[in-house]
Amino acid sequence: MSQQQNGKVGKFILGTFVGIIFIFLVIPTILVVPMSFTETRYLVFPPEGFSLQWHQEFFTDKRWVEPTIFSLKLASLTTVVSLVIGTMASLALVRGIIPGKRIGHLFFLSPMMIPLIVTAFAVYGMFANLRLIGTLPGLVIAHTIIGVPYVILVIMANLYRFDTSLELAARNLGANAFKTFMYVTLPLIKPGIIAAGVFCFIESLDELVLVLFLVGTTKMTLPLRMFSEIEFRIAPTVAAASTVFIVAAIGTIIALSFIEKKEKSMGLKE
Amino acid sequence: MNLTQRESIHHYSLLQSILLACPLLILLGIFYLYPLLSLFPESLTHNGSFSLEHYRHFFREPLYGFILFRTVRIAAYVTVICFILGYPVAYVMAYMKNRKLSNLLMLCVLLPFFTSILVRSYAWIVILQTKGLLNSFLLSMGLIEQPLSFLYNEIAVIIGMVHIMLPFMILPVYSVLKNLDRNLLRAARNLGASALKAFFKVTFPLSLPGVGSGVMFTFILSLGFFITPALLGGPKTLMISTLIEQQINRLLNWEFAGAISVILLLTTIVVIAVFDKIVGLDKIYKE
Amino acid sequence: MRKKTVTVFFINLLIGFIVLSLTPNGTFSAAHAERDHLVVQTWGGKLAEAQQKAFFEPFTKETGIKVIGVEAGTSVGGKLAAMQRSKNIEWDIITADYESYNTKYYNKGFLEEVDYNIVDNTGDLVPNSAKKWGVAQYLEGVCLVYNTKAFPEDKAPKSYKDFFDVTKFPGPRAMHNWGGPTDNLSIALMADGVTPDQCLPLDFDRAFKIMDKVKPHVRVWYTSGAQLVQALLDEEAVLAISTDGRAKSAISMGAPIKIVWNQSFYYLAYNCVVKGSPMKDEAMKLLKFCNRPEQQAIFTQIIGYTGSNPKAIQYLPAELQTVQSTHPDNIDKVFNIMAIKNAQWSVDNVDTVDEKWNTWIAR
Repeated sequence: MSQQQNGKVGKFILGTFVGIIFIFLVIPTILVVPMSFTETRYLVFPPEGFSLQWHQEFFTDKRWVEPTIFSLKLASLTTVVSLVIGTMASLALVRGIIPGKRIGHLFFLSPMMIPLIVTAFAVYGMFANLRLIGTLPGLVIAHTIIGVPYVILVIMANLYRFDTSLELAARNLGANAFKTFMYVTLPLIKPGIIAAGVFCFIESLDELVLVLFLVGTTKMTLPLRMFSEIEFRIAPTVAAASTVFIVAAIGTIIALSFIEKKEKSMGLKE
Repeated sequence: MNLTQRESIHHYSLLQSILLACPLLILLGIFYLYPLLSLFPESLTHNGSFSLEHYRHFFREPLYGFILFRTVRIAAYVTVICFILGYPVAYVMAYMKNRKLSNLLMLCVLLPFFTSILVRSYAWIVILQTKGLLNSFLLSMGLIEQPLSFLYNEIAVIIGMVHIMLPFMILPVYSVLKNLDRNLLRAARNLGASALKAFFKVTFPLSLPGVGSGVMFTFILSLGFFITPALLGGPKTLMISTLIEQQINRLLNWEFAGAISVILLLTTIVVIAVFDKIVGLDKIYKE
Repeated sequence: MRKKTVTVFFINLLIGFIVLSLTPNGTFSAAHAERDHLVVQTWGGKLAEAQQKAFFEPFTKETGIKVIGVEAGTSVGGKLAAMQRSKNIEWDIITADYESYNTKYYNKGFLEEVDYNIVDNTGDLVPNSAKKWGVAQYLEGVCLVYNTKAFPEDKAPKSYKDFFDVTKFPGPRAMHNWGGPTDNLSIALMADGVTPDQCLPLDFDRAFKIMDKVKPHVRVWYTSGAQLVQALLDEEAVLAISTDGRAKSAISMGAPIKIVWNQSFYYLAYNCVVKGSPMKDEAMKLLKFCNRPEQQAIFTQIIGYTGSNPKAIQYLPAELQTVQSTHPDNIDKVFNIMAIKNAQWSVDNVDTVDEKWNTWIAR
């Protein structure tokens, strides 16, 4: 059965190819972890000695803890707001009967196309006049503006390939538009929501330029802190911070997959 | 069910659409559009009066067009490479039957995200430098005799950027592939199509919206990148956003920076429009 | 149909409430309010730490005025301009080194003129410290450094000429690409035998021709101090034009390098008061405070940069005294790159120099 053999060979090649790419994705990330345990005051690989001081510093030094918490708050709020507004706008763009959809689409995406430094410079005055400099809502607004394009790009793609017959069925059964959306549409575009949510979260967590302009003089975010630390030497504390995030991410994903397993075994999922 | 009922689900009326888009429109209008509309016209002034000087400056000095072209070129390379590397990954992830393995792969794709860009760039320096991991590996395997120069050049920048952009290509494609109706594929196979044919005639076209998103992401983000090119590349990889940043931060020429941004924006739109037309995405985005 | 509309409307309202409710009372009072403390823009890391210990904290102790340091990464100019455009002055003082850029800030109306009635103790400072728009706080030296493993004592480079001689002194090099390229081009001319006072106005053709010789050998065009230090530590570059502060930092971390003091010059790093600062007089008082020799000595001991007040040397431990540029033994050997003849030219032509440099280096 040569087609079967070809199929097997094809799968093997594909599998190897994908495997190599995964190694490519993972290695630089993994490198960070051992580097964070170095004894030296600068980044070196292989790490010299073993020291927990950088991790300790990250967890105990107020100058690291406060910005981290603030950044996490900022990123979470940004993600929620971006997802909600962005999904709504995506629905309008995909299913709405409005003129100038293409232009609207480009307009919503344009924050990604204009260099952040220009945007930051331009919007500073508006934020200043509205007394939003150095405030959490202000930064959420700023990050939402650049977060929504991520949501729109992903959710729109998901909505296009959407089998609306399920929605039709729900409506036939008497559910109103809102309920239909919440219980039928939303679960079906879940992969998109998760992807978009991750993008928003990370973009906010990593964002440096807008916060430089809008963070005022009393607050600090994690990337700002990392950046200032890196000014004089590439401090291992930064690697420690990344290690912590990696561990947190792994932990979250493992936890999520356990929850999924439980739901499945309890017959709650498909 | 009659047609109007069907339509009322597929399509939202003008009022509904506007209401849905309202929050975003208001947000962007106040905090983004209005400020930019106050800045960009300044690019049309020079020493107080209306003038196209800044735009003329851009085209007069060969530096700017050259850098813009190079930026677009590098962004295009990164996008193409991300597509070639990323699509198979998304495909494997979406069609994998082993749930545990699929989750592991998802983890691997998301993992780079959780390290900051700064840290990732330094990790690449460690790998690519003269005494770095890659050269050590190649030397120990006897594949090369002298260490090669992988760092502070375009290769390093492209590697670094691909590494950052891959998840942006993989995840949108994955999310669309995952939702595809498997029955369509099964039907095609049952009708006698080989696996390869079924893929190219059924799966791939249906995944195009995801591909479109991934490509847009990668290309647009790559155009605006300057951290990675600054750290991993040399001046030979000077990008347009670095130039813009210099004009604002060092030289305080925000009018000129605004002009360059406008030109960059127009270039981006043109490239996207051309791409949409060639690939046929514009047919999808029409109703 | 109406139900849908109403639902969507309420969702919008809900979002509005969520956003507003994130605002605890008083959050909107951040920016324009009168403040009672000084805000100084610093460059972070050890430098900020040095400023904190040497100047800010003692100043607060003496005057009761609180001083906080904030960072703006590389966006100092941009943020300064944005603040001025919207008249929302967040900072009182900026610390900046390249005089050509500083003068531009001043010419655009972003800096206050120094009130020398308050800052009346500039007499002891090195020449050119007291400018219309700022007062110098420390010297940032530029020097040649080399890797002692690649160039043992007898083969060590001794001058800029050696840096550009790729046959006698082979190896990858490092030079800066972080703005103010006038000094790179001046170094090229000096390597060719031009005396400092003849460097300006720059003979671009001649300078770029010399730079072309060394360009293929410059592996690291560093854009940050940390990048330079890492390159020296990893031995990615065996020859470099470095700042003295970073060189000393790399040495303290174990880099096998040595500094060549011959032909080295310095920039002055200035404290400038931001135009429109609500704490203008207090800012001037801080500027005056920074001229005190005892305080500058503390600064030097933490960060390594020499203070602008030569009298500060007396307060340093003996072994540190002799390596300061302002030490009597050294002060005639080093020179202020902005005090050479026609220095004004580099200020007037800052845009052109940057552009020509970018054009040359990007190919």
